[in-house]
Amino acid sequence: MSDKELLLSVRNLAVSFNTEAGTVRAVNGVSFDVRRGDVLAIVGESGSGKSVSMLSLVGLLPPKTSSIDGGTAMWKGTDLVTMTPAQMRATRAKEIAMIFQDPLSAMNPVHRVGRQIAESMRLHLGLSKKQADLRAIELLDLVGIPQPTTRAHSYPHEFSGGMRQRAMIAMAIACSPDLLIADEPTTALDVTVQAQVLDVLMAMKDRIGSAIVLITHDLGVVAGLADSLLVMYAGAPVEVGSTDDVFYRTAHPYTEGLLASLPRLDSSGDDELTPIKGAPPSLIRIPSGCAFHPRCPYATQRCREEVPTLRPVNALSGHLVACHHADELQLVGAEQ
Amino acid sequence: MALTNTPIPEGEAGIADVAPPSNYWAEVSKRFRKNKLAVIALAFIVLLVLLAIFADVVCKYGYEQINTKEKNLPPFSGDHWFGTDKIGHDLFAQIIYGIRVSLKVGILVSVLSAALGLIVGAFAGWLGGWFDSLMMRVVDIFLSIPYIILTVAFIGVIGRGLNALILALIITGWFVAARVVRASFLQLKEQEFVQAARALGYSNGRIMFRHILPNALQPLIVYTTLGVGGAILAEAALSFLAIGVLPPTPSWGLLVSQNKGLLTNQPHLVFFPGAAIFLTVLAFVFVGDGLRDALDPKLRS
Repeated sequence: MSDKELLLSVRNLAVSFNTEAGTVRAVNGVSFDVRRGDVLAIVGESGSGKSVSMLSLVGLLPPKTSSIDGGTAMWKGTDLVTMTPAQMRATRAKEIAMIFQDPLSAMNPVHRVGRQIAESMRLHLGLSKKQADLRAIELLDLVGIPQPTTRAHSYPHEFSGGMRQRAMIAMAIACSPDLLIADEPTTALDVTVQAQVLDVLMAMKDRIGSAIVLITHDLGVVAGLADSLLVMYAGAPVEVGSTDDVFYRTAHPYTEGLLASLPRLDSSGDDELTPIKGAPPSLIRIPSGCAFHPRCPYATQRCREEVPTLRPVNALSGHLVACHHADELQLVGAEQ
Repeated sequence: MALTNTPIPEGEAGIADVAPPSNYWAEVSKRFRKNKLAVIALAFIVLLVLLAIFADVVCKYGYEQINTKEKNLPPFSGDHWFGTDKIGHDLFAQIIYGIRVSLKVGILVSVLSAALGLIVGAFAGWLGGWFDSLMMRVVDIFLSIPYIILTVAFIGVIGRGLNALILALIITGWFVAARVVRASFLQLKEQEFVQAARALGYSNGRIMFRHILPNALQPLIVYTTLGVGGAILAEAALSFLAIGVLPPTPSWGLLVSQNKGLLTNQPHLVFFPGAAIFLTVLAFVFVGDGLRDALDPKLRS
């Protein structure tokens, strides 16, 4: 694992928004590494800060209302946090590309799909119009769109949901970026199409030799794809580790709760899914101590008072958890 | 993960799903042609343009030609289809040459004020902040003054004449266009495709003009078409009030004004130029309405 090139190294990232109701501390001290070829999944409920942390790295948060309050994000030796807008523009698409949740709204409705894919290649790779158009057709073919030459002339609204997301992937990989950030790439798709689109995404990752940061709330999506997992709650990481460690040697009560709320193929049908009680906290007033304590079935006095820090469960595998009682609890993870 | 050799699944709907890609403008044209009134109006406008271009061929008489032997003639007397006035001007020639003035004013004013409004509205909507507030307060102030007073004031400063009139109407005409474009930009800049364009490393200028602008054009095209009629009407009104174009420039408003005293005895001298104004303005309104329906993105399947 460690012999792969380290692409992105985020340390103690903190992001906040200024709203009329107060300061929303959306991300509090997130750290992770992404190596070439790896798939890192960031998992959490809505509002856990998973999207915000990634958007802040590529400078896509509204500049007037949001600010990065601290931390570093070393991208191939340069800190993304302190990059100038011009440097950031050059990095986007060419080195770091985004795949958005809803491909229909993420594509320009008045431009043909082929042209939209070609545009970034003309701009960033300096291809001629003809070269870029041909390359766009190749890319559409690559992501599995039938009759790509004809389809390049279609408008986004003439594509089905799955085809649109394939086209979005084609657009993202057009300049062979080193990192693909996929923000809930399958949420807007039919279940039957989700697996196909994820297959395409993984195949393209291997083809261009990039890494993927997969933002999702769907642990089912993550299971077969991600190499490592970052579970976030209320803007902070609660458990980090390889997918196997987090799934089968679960160390945080929140992760246990997420896994228990998933339906399983081997369940008899009588088993009820167990939801996590309560709702995620307001990020304006994050609970004292461990942010998860109001919803945690194992919470003690210590959890209410003392903020847990990430500490190793298993120093060898790099499995980390932010829970005071990780050593004492016998948590149920996913079944093997 | 060794997925390199995994075959990529075909599009979920298969080949049967592949419809021939549509041409956007072909669809617009198809929808426009369904609106018979708009098609007739467009044909009328095309006819006007041809008459304006070939006025020298169509008219037997010049619009300034005075023929004292054939004055005060009723319509359809010999070659004078619309009759003549008290000094023998051929009314038909005056109206046909008047098309040139009306179309020139109508098109130049609406296109140039739309262009000015587009630039101001685009920057106001995109930049927001103090520039937006400043420009929109300017628009508010100008919109609360009747345009006739504003135009008269401008003409008072820059002088009378056709070009002065066009300039004055542009200066008083861009406000609404600026508002239309600003509203579109305010709404469009929050759309996800704008963020996606940022994620692709595009510059602000590229996003504004190549990604947002084409999406903001539909209401502007409709507004511009309707604006042609409005500008023609404004020119006629100002010429009628004798603050528009100067005689002998053939202007419909001027004709109505000059002949208004003869309304009881020779109503055709007012009727024909009045009808020319009415029909032309109506034609542009119908075409504008037809375009609005044809361009409406909600109808795009």
